[in-house]
Amino acid sequence: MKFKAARKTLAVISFLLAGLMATTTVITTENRDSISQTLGQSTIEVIDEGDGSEDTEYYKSDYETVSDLIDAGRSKADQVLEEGAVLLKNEDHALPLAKGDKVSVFGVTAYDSVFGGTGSGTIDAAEAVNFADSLKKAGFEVNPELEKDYTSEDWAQYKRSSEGTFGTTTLLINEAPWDVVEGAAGDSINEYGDAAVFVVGRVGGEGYDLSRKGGDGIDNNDGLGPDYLGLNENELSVLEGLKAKKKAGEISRIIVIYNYAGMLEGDVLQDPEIDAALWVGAVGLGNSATGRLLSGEASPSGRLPDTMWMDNAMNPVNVNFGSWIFDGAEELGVPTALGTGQYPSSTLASYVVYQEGLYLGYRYTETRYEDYVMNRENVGDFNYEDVVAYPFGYGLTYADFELSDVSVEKSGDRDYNVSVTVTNTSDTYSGKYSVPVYVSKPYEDYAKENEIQVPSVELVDFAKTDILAPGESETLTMTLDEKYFASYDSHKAKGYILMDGDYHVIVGGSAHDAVNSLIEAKKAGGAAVDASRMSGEGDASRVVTFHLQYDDQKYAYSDAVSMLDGESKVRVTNLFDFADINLYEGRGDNHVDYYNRDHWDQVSLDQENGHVTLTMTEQMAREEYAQLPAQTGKYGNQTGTPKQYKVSLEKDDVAYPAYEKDAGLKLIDMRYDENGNEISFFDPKWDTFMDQLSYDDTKLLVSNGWHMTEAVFSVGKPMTRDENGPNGFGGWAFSNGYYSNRGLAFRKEVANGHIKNGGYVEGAGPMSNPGVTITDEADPNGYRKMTGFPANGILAATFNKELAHEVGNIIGEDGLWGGMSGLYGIGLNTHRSPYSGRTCEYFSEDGLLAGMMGASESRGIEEKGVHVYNKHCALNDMEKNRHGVTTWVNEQALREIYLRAFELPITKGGAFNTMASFSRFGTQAAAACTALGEDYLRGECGMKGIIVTDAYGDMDGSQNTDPYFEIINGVLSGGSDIPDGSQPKTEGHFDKYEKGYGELAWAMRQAAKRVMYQTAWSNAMCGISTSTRFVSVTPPWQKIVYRLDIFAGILFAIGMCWTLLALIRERKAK
Amino acid sequence: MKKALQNKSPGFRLTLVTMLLSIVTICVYIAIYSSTNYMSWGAVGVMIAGLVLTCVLILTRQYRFAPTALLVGDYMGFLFFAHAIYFYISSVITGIQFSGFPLSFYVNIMFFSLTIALCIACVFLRQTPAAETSSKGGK
Repeated sequence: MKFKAARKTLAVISFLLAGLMATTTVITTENRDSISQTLGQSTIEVIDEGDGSEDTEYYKSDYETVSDLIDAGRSKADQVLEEGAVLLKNEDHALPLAKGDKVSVFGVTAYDSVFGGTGSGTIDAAEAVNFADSLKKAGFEVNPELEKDYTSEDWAQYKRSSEGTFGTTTLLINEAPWDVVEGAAGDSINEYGDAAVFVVGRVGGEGYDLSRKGGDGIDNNDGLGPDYLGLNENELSVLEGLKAKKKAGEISRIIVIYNYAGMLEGDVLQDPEIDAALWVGAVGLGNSATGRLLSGEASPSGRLPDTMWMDNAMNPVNVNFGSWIFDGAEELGVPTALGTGQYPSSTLASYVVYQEGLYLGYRYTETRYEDYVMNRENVGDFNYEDVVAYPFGYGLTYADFELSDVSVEKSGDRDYNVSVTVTNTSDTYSGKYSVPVYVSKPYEDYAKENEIQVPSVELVDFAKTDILAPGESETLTMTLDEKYFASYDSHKAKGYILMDGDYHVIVGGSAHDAVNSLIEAKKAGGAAVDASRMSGEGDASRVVTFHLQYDDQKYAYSDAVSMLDGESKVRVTNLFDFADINLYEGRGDNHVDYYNRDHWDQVSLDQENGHVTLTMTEQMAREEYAQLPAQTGKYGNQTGTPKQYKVSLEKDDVAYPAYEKDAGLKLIDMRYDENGNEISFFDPKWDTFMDQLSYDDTKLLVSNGWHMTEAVFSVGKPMTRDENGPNGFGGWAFSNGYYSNRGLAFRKEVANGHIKNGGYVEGAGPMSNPGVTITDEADPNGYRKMTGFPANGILAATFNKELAHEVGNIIGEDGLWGGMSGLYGIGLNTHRSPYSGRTCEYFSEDGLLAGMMGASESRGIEEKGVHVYNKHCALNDMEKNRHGVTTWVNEQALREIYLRAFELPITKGGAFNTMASFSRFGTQAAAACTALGEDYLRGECGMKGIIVTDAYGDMDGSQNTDPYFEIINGVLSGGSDIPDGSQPKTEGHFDKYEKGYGELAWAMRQAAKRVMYQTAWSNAMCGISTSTRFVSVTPPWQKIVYRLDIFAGILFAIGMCWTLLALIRERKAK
Repeated sequence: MKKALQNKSPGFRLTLVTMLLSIVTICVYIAIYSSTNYMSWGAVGVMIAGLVLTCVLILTRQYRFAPTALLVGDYMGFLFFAHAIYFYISSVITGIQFSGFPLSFYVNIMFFSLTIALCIACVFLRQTPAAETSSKGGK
């Protein structure tokens, strides 16, 4: 009996173990590369068979050591905040304070500051400086009692917090109320009463928008509910308490700092008892600058990149911010239930309409203001000062600056040379000064007849001085491109046109200053103006007027050479009719009245019910389902594709590309020809190179892209590492800082002998690779993290393109030293509504400002062999409802705002790659949109690299939301080349197309070629020479799995043999 | 029924209960996962195959092999389930999937675990009454 029990035990355990190991082996084999990458173990060994004389550092660093780079990065972050912080208010020169002043610093954010965003915008803030410390560094004496209280465990309850799950987060402001603060601080406030600095903080990030319902903000009865972007009761109580102290003479002045990436409501700041206010955005690692700004060591020179509204309920965009369910969707069989996963939104039946068209932000406020002052018909009631707290482009300085000698002269065919002299007229302060330039186009019959929207003023360029000492002058010159004078006419000309009429170029100031100057100029020209309606003053001398004739040919072709054929310029014409509900052929009875200068009185501010209502048509449903994962029809929480909408890819008789024709070419051979010339993407040598790949190689390349591109060792293509984020490299990929990957920091220490056994480890974090050891002699700075810059809104606020380029260079260097050849960024979506959760990643409400700054930054990054994946192209202007949302927008607004932010970084900054958004253009998923990927990005803009989807698991149903896209459609349409996801989930998608689908095979080939091309011209090639050889190896973890397999197999075999023998013996015994 | 079970061992009776539980587990699994992409019909197939084999063994009076067949079917079913859902589990554990595991996930795991645990117990329990075994010369 004893042996029987033992035998049974062995048989059962060995069976369970064998089953477990078999399953483990299957799963780990399916995920071999991902596991290896996570564990930092190599699946390939790279051996250099040459004599080592080749210089394989193809992208040179400007720094000798990683420490030098880090110092430069931190310093640059400081400079960004110094130049980007916007002085909103400074009554009676309340600022700057005197060094050594004793100040009381209020607000939990002063001690627990907002450095960046959450999600992909996360930066490493370990070395960041909070506001209290920043002030101390600047030489102020900071109230220690308050610091003790705010940082005590007892006050943890007052810190910002959130409740709910990821996609349903309700953000709570909290804050310590005044009675608690006063009770704890006692007389210390009086003692440190030279100034009270009250820091108000808000946080935002990926996956959620900001609360307009729920939360603990003040409900100002605007229909929006408790408002996260207003102050809450506790914050207001602090302000009231401070005002009382000021009145009692215990504190001298009140300074408010807004520490949020976007705009809070500005009504509170109008309180005359608040002496000064500063917007600093999310401060990144640059917050030392705040103290210097308050002390006057530095002078603010930032300008607002967005309109700061008095009350966000006055912003009509918010009426159509969010998503709604199509009427009639259920009847058409389209599910309207919300997802059960992290994103409780409908992905198939939801829509949003950009009803404002071009009239977004200042384009609305300033245009309606001008029309109000000019007393145009149907303008409605519009008191500017009740609507706008601080306009786009607004920003004070400590010094006083004067503009003089304004001149704008046409030069050549399409350039306008702007010249303006900036003089620092103050006798105390030095500082920089930026000069925006705006254009005002004619709003005449042609525009009215063809539904062309013409804002009062639009930014067309900008420049910034160096630091000007008191009395010093600098003449700024800019070359305006007349292309930005053109309007997109999607109805008649179907292209960019110059309309007949007067064009006013307005130099300097905020958008509101520009409009006032424009009004003055028009008044001088005899136009009727109702001066009583004006807010502020203008200066007609800053306006230069040109008359242009109608022209629909001058900008009919793209400036860039198309990357579809490498030689032609593309005819620019309507590409996105399907995204404009008024032009979409399947619109049914739907129609949208976009905002119109002739009917301002029709603009709704009804935040509850003012949104556009649309009805789903059968064509919409059919087109949406055509993009779903075709194989299963059953995903997530829904019942799958209704029969009537099921489509599958049709077979064709197109011949497949050639495969596995070895020509002895490696990727390193595809950079330069024998004469040292760069090999073009269209060179026939690329065909020879690509013919070497197998179908499986191609499938691998286009199926996997989770923060990387796949390796194909047979042709010497290394894995690339691509990582977030938009404000500098951050996130989980850098647990060992600059040593996390085989970047320059790692390679240098290997060469120095400070890293042992640090040979080439492909696609892995070498630090955790068994056998790799870093000696104590290695630079400890290598473990530090990359520089996280202030949020992009602050960078935009600098209005300094050169600075953006320098920031780009630092990010590029961080990639070079940290082993990253791709950046999931920069973020170029639009600040459409202040309630977008992800404001921290994006630049502005203005597409040109975002585009020009983005172009400079992209160029800086690309110079270091790091390819940007500018994201999220496009219309990803909200978070909670971003998945699959059907977005309706007219083509003029799309091109002149939302796509311009992506266009300029490609055409002016050489941005290589793009990340497609989760959104749809009309019914077409951005990642499967031929018009966007092929016709626009590659055709018109000449984008050279690849398009990656956004997180693929959010699109194919893996996240328990309805699926709405699959990579097959992305590759086939040219809308995307790779998924931001990895095998085996996506790899399987291509399995069944190995025969009979030649068209898809060629699309796969083209996408794979682009992956190869962008890799060849990236720093991923550093360390690879013409004599480098790749050898496949089994990673150590997999060896362990195999050994356990053998052990379990032997045990199982023993158990089975023993059982068999027992049965035989038993039978014999019978 | 009562008569049929009159001379059966407690182990055999537990095997019948386990078979019943196995059927319930299959139903629960189908109810929870059939409309998702984490469904493995292979899991259902091997579990049903295990149940059918168990029935055949019982009908052919090969009682002592019945729990083994049931265990093989249910355990393999569990492994198929694991293979189908591991991507989801990994995405939750790594934080890619932020929603966490729903109650239904734990319910399903509980049913599988209980079924397999009972199967293992049955393997170790005598399936035939001592007298019957003795009369057949079994040990």
